[in-house]
Amino acid sequence: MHGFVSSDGDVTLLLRRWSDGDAGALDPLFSLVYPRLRHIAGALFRGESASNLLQPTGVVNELFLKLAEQRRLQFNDREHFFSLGSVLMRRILVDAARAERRDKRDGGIRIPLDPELAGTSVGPSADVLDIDRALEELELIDARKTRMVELRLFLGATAEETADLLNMSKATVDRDLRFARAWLIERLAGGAPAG
Amino acid sequence: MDKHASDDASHWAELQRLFHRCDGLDATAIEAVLANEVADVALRERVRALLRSAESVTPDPAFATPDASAGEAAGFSPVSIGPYRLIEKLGSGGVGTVYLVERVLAETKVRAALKVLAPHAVDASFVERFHREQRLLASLDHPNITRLFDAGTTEDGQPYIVMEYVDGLPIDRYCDERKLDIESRVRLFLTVCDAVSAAHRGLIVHLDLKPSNVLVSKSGIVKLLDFGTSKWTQANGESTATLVATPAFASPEQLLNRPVSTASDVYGLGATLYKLLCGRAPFGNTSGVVRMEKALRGLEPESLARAAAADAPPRGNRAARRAQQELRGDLSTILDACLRNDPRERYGSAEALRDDLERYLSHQPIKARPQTSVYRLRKFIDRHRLALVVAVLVVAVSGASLAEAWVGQARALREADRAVRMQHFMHRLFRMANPDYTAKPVATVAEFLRAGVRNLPAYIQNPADLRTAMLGLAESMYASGDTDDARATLHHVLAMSQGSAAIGNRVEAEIYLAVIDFDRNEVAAGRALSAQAFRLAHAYPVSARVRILTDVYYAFNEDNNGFIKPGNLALLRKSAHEAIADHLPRNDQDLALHDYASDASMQGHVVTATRIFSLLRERYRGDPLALCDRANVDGWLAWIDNQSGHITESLPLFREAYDGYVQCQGPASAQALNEVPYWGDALIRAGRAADAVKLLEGTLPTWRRALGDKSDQVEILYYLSRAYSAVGRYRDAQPLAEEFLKSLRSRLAPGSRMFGLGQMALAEALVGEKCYAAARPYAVRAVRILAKPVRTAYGLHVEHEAQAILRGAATTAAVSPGCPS
Repeated sequence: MHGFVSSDGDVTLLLRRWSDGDAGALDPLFSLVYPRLRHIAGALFRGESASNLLQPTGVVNELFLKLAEQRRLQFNDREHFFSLGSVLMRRILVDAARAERRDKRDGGIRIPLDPELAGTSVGPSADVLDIDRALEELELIDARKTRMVELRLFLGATAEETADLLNMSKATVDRDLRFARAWLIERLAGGAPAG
Repeated sequence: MDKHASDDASHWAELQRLFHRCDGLDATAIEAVLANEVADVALRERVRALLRSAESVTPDPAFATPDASAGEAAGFSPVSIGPYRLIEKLGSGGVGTVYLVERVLAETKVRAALKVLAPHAVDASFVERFHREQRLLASLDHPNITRLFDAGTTEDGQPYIVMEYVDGLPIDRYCDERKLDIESRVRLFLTVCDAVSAAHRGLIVHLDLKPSNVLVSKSGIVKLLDFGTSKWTQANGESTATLVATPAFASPEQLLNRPVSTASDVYGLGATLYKLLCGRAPFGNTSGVVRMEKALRGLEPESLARAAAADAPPRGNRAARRAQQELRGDLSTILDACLRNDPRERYGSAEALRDDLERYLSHQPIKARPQTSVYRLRKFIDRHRLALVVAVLVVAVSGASLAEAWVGQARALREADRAVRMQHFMHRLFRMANPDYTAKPVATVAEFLRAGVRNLPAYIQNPADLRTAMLGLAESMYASGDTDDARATLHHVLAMSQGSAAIGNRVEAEIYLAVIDFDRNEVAAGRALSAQAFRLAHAYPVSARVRILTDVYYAFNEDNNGFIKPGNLALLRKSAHEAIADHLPRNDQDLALHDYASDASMQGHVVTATRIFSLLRERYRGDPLALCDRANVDGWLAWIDNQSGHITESLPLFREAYDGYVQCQGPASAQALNEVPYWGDALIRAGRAADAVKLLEGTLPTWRRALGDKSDQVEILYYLSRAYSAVGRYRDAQPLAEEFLKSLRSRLAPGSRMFGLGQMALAEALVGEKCYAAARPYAVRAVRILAKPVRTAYGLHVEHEAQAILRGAATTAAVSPGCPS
């Protein structure tokens, strides 16, 4: 906790830089925020089932609070903020999945590809590490769609909220997500081995 | 990046264009597009692969969703635990798995619920929480809180507790399945408040109150479950929540990790009641993070009043409309007071909330609202109307010279009588000016009426006659849809109606203004006006006509807007008899009969309603100026039959209503077009889907020209979509359902019932096209929305349809190759 508090100024600065489009700010930002977030996301590392994991409120909560306390959080910056939250969530999940995989023979954390159908046992899900790899590829081709997928899959935002955050129409988001989903499934299932 | 991905990068825009271009086409069409537009063979194959993936549900065994409790299934599938024999698994949540168990005690079999901590959750904090639950439950002994029987550890060291088994439904589902009305829901909820109060008295907070934690057994007994996240509250203070409860129902302080208290449960109670009353959680379908962000920004949920307004039910489902109105008043205020962000601004305790709900049920002023004298007075008047009328009379009369007032009244009554005859002549005149659609357009009539108002003073010198004539004009303006002009004219009449001699005109102006207010949904203003008119009409010697009309308008508007009192229907019945006995002008008699019948129908007195409407129908027969009125009555009779399940009988009436409106207003009129969808619906339900298609399809072009999807009347899109699906024309059904949804988007909240209907229609079409994957999210949402409080048999019928479609969408049968997005 102390570490986090003492570096709040840096966090804010880095968040600004990242919001302004400086992708290089993400790594130092992550390493500053991560220890605290990892603590909050403790349940992830104890290997609870994926459906319980996808409640990233604790993690995002911490970010919001730290920034809001300093009155630096402008809520007109929502898109960047939520995007950062989803990126962090993704890293945390990936990290947890790696730890899991070291411990167990058939570990891995699966997350549903259609958040709205989570729990109905009809929607596909995929290993978070595979999704991460596929998203790395998607990022190189289409960063916008990657953000969209991250918001949906890692932050659990609804399609309406995603559209709202990215300032796009719901129809466009639906359309883009449909394409992105097909692309991801194809990459994960049939496509040549990644990397 | 691998080869595929880098190839994709070079064709990215083209790949997306082709994907969307082909998405939804059948295999042949896709091949045609690819052959025409793509030279690159590899790119063609990429498009095909992506289209296949888009439709995939479980494309690879690796994608099979693991059972939510896979870890448990692998390591732990017991037959018995301790002395308990497992009967079935009831469910599993974040903390553990719950089983239905049985134990033989003194030769009696005892059933109980056994909750065991899932093995993957072995952690100090969980065990601690578990033990806390044990202690808490043991200390609570209340008939509405599940009792703890036993606790122990399984052979492999998992702690478990055994508690009372409740065979019941979550309270929201219970209310919906029993089709409980609002009052019964509130009454049932009082018990929940009682249980929470009892726990609070024992210094225990629940912190996860939500409908699924409140079960109701078949015999109607309420049981609160899951004190698992509860914690001891210190007698002197507040403590910090460490665990975020269900975000949709959690208080802002829980979401923000701030100190929790009993006020957090008041929030949970409010959120639960909100769900019971309007079918969705206060913030609707939001994700946890956005909900949290809203909490941090201090946003409060949409008030129940607004949420209810967004849920306009189709057509004149007046029962539903009435329910909506009920949600706009005190209940909305009570919920606002539960759901404030600042815990200090909420009710101080569950008991205070309960007391206010009780006050609401017994029509006493609630405490949640700042107690302004006007509000108190209104509630007081509601309860002591008769006594008050006398009081107002005394106050009003003592201010003026009694003798003078009486003389004035007598003269005014004579004049009014003359004026009334003139008014009715004018009324006839104006209606003749616009008897059917072949005459000049309505705009001319409006101008005509405005000119009348301007010129009247030049022709009529007697002030009473002038006022009465202007009232006649205002009424005609209103009848021809010119509400703003009618309003201005009525205010003008009010301004001219100073003094006791003009009371009759004043009362009449007020009741028409009240009607306009109700039309504009300004319920409070409308009620105030009609109540005032009612008081005046009974405090002063106005003409019989004015008094009867005032009674009719007052009683009908009260009931029609959800402020139902048994006396209102009786008053309408009395007024209808008086209107005929006193030989009121014909159209006033008809109005009294019509409102009596409508109210009877709303109150479920189907036989009376049918009798009076049939009588009205006879009265209108042969009157060429009453075509619209007759069509309206036919529409009502059809609607009553339809709602009572007499589908076949309703069909000819729908036709008559439609034909009548076509004659009096034209085929492109809103009224005529309004009958078509419901007529079509009746045809579908009568098993004549092909005829429904013919009717609705035939009307669609007219509708598009005259109203279109920018209007409020878009039901035709929905019913035609359903009709197409009913005859297997799914490909035609789909775009209509989509259009219906699109047109709703600008007007209604996404959780509205109409959206649910639209999603259902779309899912039905997609299932028909074997596009199960595409259908599924719509079907899921449709069921979610349509499972809301439903008060009619028809509503339940729709919900069951939606569930059947969802089951259809869950099939894993082979999908059609060319499914749309």
